[in-house]
Amino acid sequence: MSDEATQVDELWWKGVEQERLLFQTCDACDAVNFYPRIRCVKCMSPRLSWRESTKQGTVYACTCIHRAPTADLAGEAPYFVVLADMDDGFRFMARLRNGPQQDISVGSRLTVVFEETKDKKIPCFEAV
Amino acid sequence: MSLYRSAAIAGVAESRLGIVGEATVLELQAEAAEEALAEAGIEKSEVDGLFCSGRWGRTPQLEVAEYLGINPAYSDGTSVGGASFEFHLGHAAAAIKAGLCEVALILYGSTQRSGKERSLAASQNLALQYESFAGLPNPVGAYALAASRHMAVHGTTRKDLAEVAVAARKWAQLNPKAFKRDPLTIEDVLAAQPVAEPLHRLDCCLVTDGGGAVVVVSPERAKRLAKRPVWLLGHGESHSHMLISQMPDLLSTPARDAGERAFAMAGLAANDIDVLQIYDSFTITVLLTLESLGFCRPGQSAAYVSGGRIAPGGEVALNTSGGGLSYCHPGMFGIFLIIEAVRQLRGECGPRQVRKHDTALISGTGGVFCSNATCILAGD
Repeated sequence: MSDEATQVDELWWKGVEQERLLFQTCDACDAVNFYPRIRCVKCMSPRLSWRESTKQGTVYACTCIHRAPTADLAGEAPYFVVLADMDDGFRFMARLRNGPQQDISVGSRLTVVFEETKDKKIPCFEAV
Repeated sequence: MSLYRSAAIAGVAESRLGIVGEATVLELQAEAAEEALAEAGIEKSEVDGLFCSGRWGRTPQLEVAEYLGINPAYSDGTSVGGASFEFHLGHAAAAIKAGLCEVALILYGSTQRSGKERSLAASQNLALQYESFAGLPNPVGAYALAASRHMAVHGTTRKDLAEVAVAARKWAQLNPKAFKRDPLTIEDVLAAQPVAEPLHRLDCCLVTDGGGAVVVVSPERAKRLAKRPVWLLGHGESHSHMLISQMPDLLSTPARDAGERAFAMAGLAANDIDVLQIYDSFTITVLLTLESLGFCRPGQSAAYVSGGRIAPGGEVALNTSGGGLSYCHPGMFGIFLIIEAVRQLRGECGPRQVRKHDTALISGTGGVFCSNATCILAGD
């Protein structure tokens, strides 16, 4: 990983730390870039601008996880993982906060919230 | 450049499958290579092309070639998940057509079941950092997301998915090499423990050990074989993403582009195919691949597999080995799709032999619907 790429990633995670969900748009072709990059995924322009998401989105697909991938998450299961189409034009994956009791399905509206974990602050979804 | 009839498959073999105890990945590949070359009637010294992929090492080609004493003039380690071996078949044909090699050996081995395989953890600091915090178990969670989308858009049910698992088991009961051969009902699949809903335990492929080998030769070399050759008529490949959150449309897989290219090269259409070998990492994989390849329209795959249509005696001969769901699944299944297709085209499959077996289609899917290569084969 180059130093420049590290900086892009660091800026995104700094946004999360400040409870801002960041994405990029291309000044040359207007393409929405997420995850953030150093060259536009569509036209390769280096002229990418950071934007702050409205954090609102719609469930595109979702799954209730019974076997967590890590020991840290095992205590949380079962929990929902959601792939959402954000109103800002990018697709974003996160865990739904508060376990499976929240009633969501494809088409449900969501908002992004932030949660402290052992290592760092992470984005989560919450049903609207 | 078309690869139509530019190469032939001369020999195929599995290694020991299932739970192999003390064997290493190199030993399994040696077993399979020896048997595949023997049935082709080709000496190891003739091998001048090597194709392999494995998650067990950083330089699998170097390790396998050294172990087998092969010094290839052409070497390809394309690694795009379980579909890698369908990519290799096309790449081998291209290299043969270009005159860069004449006898290519495609190899795979895994001891994931017995656990003596090095695991290379995913690189958390690249793109995966934008997904890993979500807690999605890979790959099952990604396939579950696609299944949830198919259900929401098309009304597909868990029972529709279960049809795929039950048909696979019925084929496996006709295959003495299959790992799981006990009877399985729709109700059993529905009642299995949930893993990542809507996928439950029996919607998921097996975890076994095993290896395989495929020998690919030039048309000239194919004139002197121990068995009749199987011809490559068409090949197409594609990949569209690495992370499931970057997949443009969860209901349209890279099999769409790969399949179009393969059919165009072969000059055939879906209804010309007698035998289908479609990667079944999960039940949903088969449904989405059938739609993307054009065997049915989007949303129609549930009807396509319903009522035992893809089980023995049904209208469609699909995954006649028992597939990754019931025959074996040593981490990557792609090479076993080729092996079964070749045996069906040669008419060697005994009780599970498909009556009309002039053409076969193989469709390998890798990663989380990331990659697909589709190959169309015909008997001699």
